[in-house]
Amino acid sequence: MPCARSGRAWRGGVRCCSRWRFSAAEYSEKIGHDITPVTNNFYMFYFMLTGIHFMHVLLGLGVLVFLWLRSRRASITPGDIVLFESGATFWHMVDLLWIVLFPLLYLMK
Amino acid sequence: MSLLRHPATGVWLLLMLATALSWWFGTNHAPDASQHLLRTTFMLGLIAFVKVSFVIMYFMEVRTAPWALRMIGGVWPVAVGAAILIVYVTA
Repeated sequence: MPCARSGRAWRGGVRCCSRWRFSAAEYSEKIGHDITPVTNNFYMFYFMLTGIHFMHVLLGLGVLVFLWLRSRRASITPGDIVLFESGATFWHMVDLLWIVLFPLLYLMK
Repeated sequence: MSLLRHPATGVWLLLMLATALSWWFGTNHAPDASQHLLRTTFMLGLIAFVKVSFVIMYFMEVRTAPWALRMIGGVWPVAVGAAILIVYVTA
């Protein structure tokens, strides 16, 4: 089970890194065109929601690295399993939020 | 190989198909028909919340959690999705 979980979590991690580069390019493009959080309500939500999501992504990546290091130990305790499951669940929660934020900010007109 | 036989892998494929369906809805619409645009946007929102339900149940493993958590995990995407789509359609 932890193997299946880590496979899914890392697949998500790869997806997330591409999203991160994408967002950094988007921010610089917008700021280059003088589009900031005070431009209008939409961009206030856009920068706030994607910015808060970005913080969660950073936290989630930190959690994944921590779990990866932990999984390389010689012995794994029942407490570690709870840690792996909680970390993976947090990571999937971050993914879930993006599934909602993406259509709200990029697709719905 | 056990990863390939895991139900979550099948769900992941379904999620990819749902993303492709969203793409199709997003790119196949008449630009001037506002009613059509409303329908397209509604479908995009609906697909997103169906995806959310699958992520909660299979990836966050709420499907095998105690019933109270299963209830919350089942009701949350329906309630939030319905609230957003109703506000969108009626605004």
